[in-house]
Amino acid sequence: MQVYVNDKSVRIFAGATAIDAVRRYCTDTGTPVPQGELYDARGNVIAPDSPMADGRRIFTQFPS
Amino acid sequence: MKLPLITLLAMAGSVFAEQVNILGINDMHANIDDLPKLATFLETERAADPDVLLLSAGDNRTGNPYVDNGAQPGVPMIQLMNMLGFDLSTLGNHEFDSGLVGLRSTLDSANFNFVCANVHADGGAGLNLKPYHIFERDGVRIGVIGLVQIGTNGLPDVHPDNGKGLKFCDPFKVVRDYAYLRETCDVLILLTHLGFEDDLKLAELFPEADAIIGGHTHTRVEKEVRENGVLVTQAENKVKYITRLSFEVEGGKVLSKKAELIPLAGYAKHAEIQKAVEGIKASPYMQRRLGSIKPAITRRESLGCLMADALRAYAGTDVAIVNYGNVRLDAFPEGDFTVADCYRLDPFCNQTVVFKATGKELVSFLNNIPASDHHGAPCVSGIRYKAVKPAAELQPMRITEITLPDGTPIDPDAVYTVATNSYLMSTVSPQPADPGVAHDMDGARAIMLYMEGKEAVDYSDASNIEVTVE
Repeated sequence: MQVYVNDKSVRIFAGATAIDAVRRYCTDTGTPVPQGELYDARGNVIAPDSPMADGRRIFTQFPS
Repeated sequence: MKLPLITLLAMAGSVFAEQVNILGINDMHANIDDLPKLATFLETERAADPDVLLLSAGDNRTGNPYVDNGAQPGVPMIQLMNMLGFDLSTLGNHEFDSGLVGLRSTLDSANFNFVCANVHADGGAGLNLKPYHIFERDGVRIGVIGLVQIGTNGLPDVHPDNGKGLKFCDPFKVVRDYAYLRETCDVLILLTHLGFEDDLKLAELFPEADAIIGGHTHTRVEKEVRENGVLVTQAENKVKYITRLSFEVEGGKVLSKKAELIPLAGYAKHAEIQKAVEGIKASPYMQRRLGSIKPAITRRESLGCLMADALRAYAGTDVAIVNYGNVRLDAFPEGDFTVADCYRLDPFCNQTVVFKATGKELVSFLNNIPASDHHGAPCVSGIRYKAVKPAAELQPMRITEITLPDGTPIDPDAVYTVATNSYLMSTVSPQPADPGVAHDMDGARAIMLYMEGKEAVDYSDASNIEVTVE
């Protein structure tokens, strides 16, 4: 399925969680996995094991 | 003080209004260790309002071996929910994790009702499940409709076998069948396990609801959300938070409503519930003997072979791959093998992911695992390989020979089914063309299934790999 991390498209296995999507994003972009919280498109915090669905958008902050 | 007539009328109105309080929690995932804190919170709430309702938006179970893997999976959680005085729950996708039989035993063990309008049992297999429930509190009628999420395959996020015997309908269509409840209820709640984003869509489709108490996406809704006039709430997961919803009702109308997210971490542990939790954890379940190992296993790689064999046996794939860092014991003595040993070997609870790969993709996947797992070369089942690995950590290795167990070389163009874990599937690059499908099965439970009833299992010399460090 296709999901979005920080508005970047990420291809991930069906049944993946938010942290799986972030790990895939980090692998694809060569960035370290952030330790901070994850957010949905409304800015609500979501747990790392939040189930992902096709097209879902999540966000995280990477250390600058 | 002389007050204007309009102010006096408003004050009189509030005198006659009824206050309805509802507590919503979701995705507790059998986190029984924090239920004693929830119990103390509930005591405080019930002291202030004995009529307060306690509702769960599903996924009560799955996440704790003491709850999920016993003789009656999920039932210990229901027993604790009975003690906590839950009034109602909807079904989450994980309520189906033990199939129809397990679901029936869950529903029959509860002292409270379950509601879900978009699930029906096939062929008259009666389930103790209603689409909605109406509470009456001081003359106020509170209707609650349950809904569970349905994925693109027409099932909730559950192994397809566990959906057998049940029919699932589109929650967004079904919910309209219950719009008439608006006329007969003073407060109308949707108790859903759809996920926050879908709850926002539901609010657009069903403005008849006063509020949605949702679950599934483990979303922490801290600031009050009103979508299309409907309060949309969710309290993350694992008993970290609870949402208090308050409605002021008069003459069949909701005059005002609000939602507040309350953290539970600061509450003391309730002694009676703590004792009940300890009772569940004192069960001999974790010490249950599954089988035995003989002779002793002295190498971590051999234990990795056992884990990979277990994964392949569960998934029924051609190949299984376990990263070396996933193997958490270096050796295992001769003797009994227990449930606890499964969790010592693999404490991570990563999901199993099954994908298809050509022989070429399989080699690429294996070669790149050491780039995401610094512990070493991956352990495998269903194949054997020889490889050269750089001494530096987090570098890809290079497979020089890869065969089936009978020595037949892997065909680069043939397609093989492969089982691995979600960690590797999200960190190895490049990805195979097939991104795979996760199964609700973690490594420890796969080992459990594999070792059940096996005596004198010999993995002492097990090795499917030959890796040279250059």
